[in-house]
Formats: sequence, C-alpha cells, structure tokens
Amino acid sequence: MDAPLLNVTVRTLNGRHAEIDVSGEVDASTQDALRNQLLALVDKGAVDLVVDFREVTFLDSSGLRGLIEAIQRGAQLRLRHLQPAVQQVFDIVTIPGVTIEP
Amino acid sequence: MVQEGPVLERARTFAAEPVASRKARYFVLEWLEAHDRGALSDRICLAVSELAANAVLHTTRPFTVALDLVGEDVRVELVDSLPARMAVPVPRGGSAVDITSVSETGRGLQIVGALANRWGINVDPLVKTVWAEFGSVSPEEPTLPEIVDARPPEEHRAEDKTLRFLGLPVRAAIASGLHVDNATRDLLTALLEDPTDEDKEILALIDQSASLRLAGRHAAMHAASRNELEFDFEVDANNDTLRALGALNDALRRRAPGRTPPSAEVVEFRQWLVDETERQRAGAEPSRFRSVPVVVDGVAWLLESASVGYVSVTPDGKVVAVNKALVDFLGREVQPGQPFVDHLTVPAREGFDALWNGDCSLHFATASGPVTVAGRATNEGGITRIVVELPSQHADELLHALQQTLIPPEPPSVPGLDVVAAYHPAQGEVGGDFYDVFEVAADDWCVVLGDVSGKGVDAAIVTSAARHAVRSAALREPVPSGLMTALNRALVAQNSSRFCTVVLARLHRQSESWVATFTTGGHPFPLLVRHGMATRMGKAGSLLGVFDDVGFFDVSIKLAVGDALVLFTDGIVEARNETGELFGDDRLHEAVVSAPPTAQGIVDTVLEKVLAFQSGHASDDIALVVIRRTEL
Repeated sequence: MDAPLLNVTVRTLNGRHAEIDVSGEVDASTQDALRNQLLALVDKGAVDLVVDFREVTFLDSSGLRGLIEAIQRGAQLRLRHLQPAVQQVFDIVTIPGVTIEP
Repeated sequence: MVQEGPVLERARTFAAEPVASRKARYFVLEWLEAHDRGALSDRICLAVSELAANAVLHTTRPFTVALDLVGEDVRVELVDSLPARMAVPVPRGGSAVDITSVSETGRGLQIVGALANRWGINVDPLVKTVWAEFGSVSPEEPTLPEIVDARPPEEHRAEDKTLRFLGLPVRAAIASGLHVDNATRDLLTALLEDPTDEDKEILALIDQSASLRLAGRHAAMHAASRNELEFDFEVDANNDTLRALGALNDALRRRAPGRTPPSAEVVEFRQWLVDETERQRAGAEPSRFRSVPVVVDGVAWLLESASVGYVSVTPDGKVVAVNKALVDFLGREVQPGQPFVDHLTVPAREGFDALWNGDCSLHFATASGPVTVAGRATNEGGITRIVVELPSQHADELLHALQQTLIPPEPPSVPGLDVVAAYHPAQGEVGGDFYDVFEVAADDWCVVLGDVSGKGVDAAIVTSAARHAVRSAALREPVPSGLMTALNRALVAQNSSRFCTVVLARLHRQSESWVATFTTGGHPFPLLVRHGMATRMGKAGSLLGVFDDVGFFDVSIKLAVGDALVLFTDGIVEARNETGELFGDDRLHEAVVSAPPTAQGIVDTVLEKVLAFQSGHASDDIALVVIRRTEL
C-alpha cells in the first residue's frame, strides 16, 4: 500500500531539551520511526521532550510503545496539538510522565 | 428490486502483517463513509486498528474484518484463527488506566472497551471472533466484554492428540465432535437399497465410532492430497467400526459377487492402522508400516458403483484396484497385484506403458473376444489411473451414472439453516457441475459448488478429484481462501487440461447466529437475498486447476433470520432462449426475489424460470445451492 508513512523531525535539540515534529499515522507498522527517534534523543541526554502531534492523524496503542520506553529511560514527554483522533487515546489511557498540552 | 452497480464489500480479509492495521482502518473508513457513519470513524478506526494489531501479534493466519449496521449502530467483527491455548484477557474497569502496567494485548482491548458500547469475544475450536458495536455516544465507563468460550472443556481437550501415520501428522479432532463422514454413509446407504436388519446394525455401528475412524481416514486423505501415498478410504482406526466395515464388505460382496476383494496388503494395512492408533493414543511413538509404503487406491471406491471402467496400476504394471464395470466387461476376475497386461491381447502387451498420461487406446482380451476401447490415463503419486469408456452401454448413461456418484443425494439438515440444492444436467450430455454440503465439525459446515470445464469422463474425474480434495482439505483449512488454495494445488497436480470455477462457503454458528464466509475462484458471485433485495457479494479470485500462483479473498457476512445465500453455476445466467438472448443476472435476481421465502421456494423458482426460458431444454448443466437462515 502506498502509505503516508510517519515522518519524525527534530526541530531543536538543546542539551536536555528537544522539540520534535511528527506527521503521519502512528501504528504497528510505523511506530518504529517514532520510537527510534525518541530513544536516540534520550541517549543523547535529551530528557525534556516536546512532541508536536499537529500533523498526526492517527495513533493507536502500538504507537504508545516508543513513548513508554522513553519514559522508562528517564524522559518526560509533553505532547502538543493533538487532533481528536489522537486525543481520544489519551482520554482512555494515561502514561505517567506524559503530559498533554493544548 | 435489484441493486445496481458495484456493491461495497462488507468484509475483507487481511494477511497477518504489520500494515494490516492500516489496511483494515482504511477499509473500515471507506465503508463507514459510504454508510453515512463518518461521525463514528475516529472511534471505530482506533478499535479496529487495535484488534488488527492483536490479531497480527497472535497468529500468522489471515484475519477478516466484517461490518454491519445494527439499527443505527455499527457492528464490527474481526475473525481470526485461534492460537491453541490462548487465554482471553479481560480488561479492567475504570477510566484512564495507567497503560504501562498492562500487557501489549491488554492495552488494545482496554481501548476497545472504552470505545465500544457493547463488545465481546466468541471463541470456538476453529476461530476467534471479537465483535464490537458502536452507537453515536461513547460509553461513560469502559464496557466489559461478553465472552463466549465454546471450546470443549479442558478434560475433553486433553484427549486432543496429534496422531501420526507414516510420518504424517494428523490432527485427530477427537474432542470437537466430528460426526461420521456423511459421504460414506450415503454411499453405503445407496449401495444397500434394501437393507437387512444386519445391514442396519452395521450402519449404526459406523455412526457410533466416528472420531477415531476419521483420524485414520484423515491420515489417508492427507497423504492422498499431498500425493505422498494413497490409502484405501475405508481404512479404519476403531476396532468396532473396522469389524462393522468388514461385515459390510462381506454383505456387499454377497450381493455383488463381481466386486474385487481388497488385497491382502490392504487388509494388513487396515489392521496396522487400527493397532497403530491404539498404540499412539496410549502414548507410543509413531511407527512405520513395514519398510515399503503400501500403495492403495483411494479413488477406487468412488468409482466402484460407476458404469465406466476403472483400473489403477503401479509403475511396474500391477493392478491396484479395478471396478465392477471393468470386471463385468472383461468377463473374468481381476486380482490386485496381478500384471494388468494379462488382460490385454497378446500383441497389445508390449505397447502398454504403466506410466501413461493422457488419452490412450486399450486392446482388451475379454471373455468374449478382443475389444478395443478408448481410455484416459492420469499418472500421479506413483499410481496410474485409467478410466475407459466401455462400448457395451450408451455413453450418456455411463456418464450420467458417474455424475450421480458425484452429487450428494440430499443436503443434510442443519439447525437454523435451511439448505436446498438442485442439479439439472444438460440435455443429452453431462458436464462437470458439482456441489457438496458437509459438516466439518460441530456448527461448522462447508458448502462448495463448482463447474469443471468440458464434458465427458475426464471432466467427471476432475469433478470427483475436486470434491474429494475439498472434503479432505476442509479439516485443516478453516478459512475458505486457504481451502481454495489447497483445492487448486490438488487440481494442478491432476495435470489435466480441465480447469474449474468454484464458489466455496464456510458456515460457522456462533452462539445464536450463523456467519457465512465465502470465496470465489473464477465463478459467478453468490447472491445475498435480504429484505427483498438480491445483492451480488464477493471479490473475484483466480480460476482453479491452471496456475500455481493463485489469489482468493474471503468475504464474511452474518446471516440474519430470513437472509438467503444463493450459490449457482453459470448454466443459469448464461442460459439462452430461442432468439439467443441470455437469461442474465437481472432475470436471476428477479427470480430469487419473487420466490416464496424458503430455500426450496428459491431453488424451485429459479429452476422453473431458467428451464422455461430455454423452453425446457437446458443447454448446460445447472447447479444451485440455497442456504437460508431460519429461526433456531
């Protein structure tokens, strides 16, 4: 299938702080891209991660894997600009260490 | 009323791969928008994505997503094959659960429970169905699933055991309530037109044992379908039934003295199979039957009562099996193991080739002098089968008789389903239409209807091979597309110039409902008759018997009470009247919609209209199976 795959871009990386733009759909087939980028940043010492989900049109529980692993390695995540389809996931589940910002 | 134009699929099957979640979502999204339920798409797409991801995580088999409207609500079902001893995870109540403490599978179900207004999991021995219904308003609290586990209880499941015969694993579904093979019983009943009390006792015995006997038979069919080895179909794994079959054989032989007795090898092999089953059930390792595999012809019994001549030989020219018609024609006994050339004229003996494949000419030395007949040989799996058209009888009668052995006399009765079938041979000749309806396991039925290209003896042989292959493969292929692929493999292995179109449906009862999953290969799509409308359902798959590389697609639908599924061969829609006009889809749709609302009513109406359209002379075979959902 011609997929609008997931794009993950690091907008800024400044010591402990990093901002990431994500676009596309996060599911079992694409979540690796998000997970790998988050963990790479954590490995570089960035533990305050702001993730902009403005362009993310879908996310399911498979897509949470990267977020959970980043938290487990000591990061704090702030998710911004969730579309309704993504917001509904975080209405159902909580991940300690992840905060949802408008 | 006839629905025009392409129909959006209600169900689609997906391979177990990571992108399956996305493919399933897109499929669902398209359906929801077409049904004016776009407002539910965020919730339903998320739930479907979760269920699909779980299916991919747990099985390597394809899964099917089916959609339906239930009043204003949307119902989604995801059907997959069940990993052996999977426990069904139960989500927790309460909202906004800390997801890090939940397993991967549990996370998905937690989300489904929060999105769906009602949902549940039905588990039966072959498939698992997760269903969820979505109304316009999300549930306030996460809902808990309704779980129906229809698998046999543990103590029975412990009896499930893989028996091995000659190194081939056979899943002996002892606990799943497999019933006696209807084909055998029908065949025996047909042979015993006027059964004595002794015969009745024998038939009753055969009915009783079923499961172990089937284990042995499945071993044989499994082996036969892989061309690894051929067994007599009457092999038996239960001493009581073996004795019963032995007694039955004796009874039959008394009535039909020309019938060939089984060879000593077959008798010995049957006994070994019985003993081996007992040994393995007691925990022993599989052993082999002697050192040399025995060659037994499994097709022979199908043709035993046919009027065409049939003989099979080993590569070194020894007779494996011969049918009564050929024995009668020759006017003398034919012994298994005897060189086949003994029955040919002396000059013809040198020209005989036990590895023949294709058309051949046989010069028989019969009791009443030399007679030359045309035959067709098929060489496969270390055995050559030769079917000959005997000159003494009218060819049409012979073929008709053969055809009759391929058509089951009457579909069985199934609670909640009314199944009626009809077969109307073409005027003056017999083609290759066939159908079969049989029970694979409790609440699991298989319906197959097909059309083999061409006419005549070799078309009938392909027909018999197709029906046999479906029966044997149905046990290990729960998904229709998989069964179709197995059937194609068997037909390609036949190496015949014939091809075949098939529609195949699997009917599963899930508590109070019946779900039909069907697939087509080069065949007209079945019709769903619902609320007075006829709709073609399906997705085109490959023609069978031609290519190694084929593709088939499953479509599932839950049958509501009153729904009817109409499977038919192209002899109906391609019937022509005197002016050359086609009967066509529209007339068929009108016939099924206007028919009295019973399976019999639909069958009768369609047959009557097609035959009337052709002024009573069918130019091609017509086969029709109607499955109508009734109250349980």
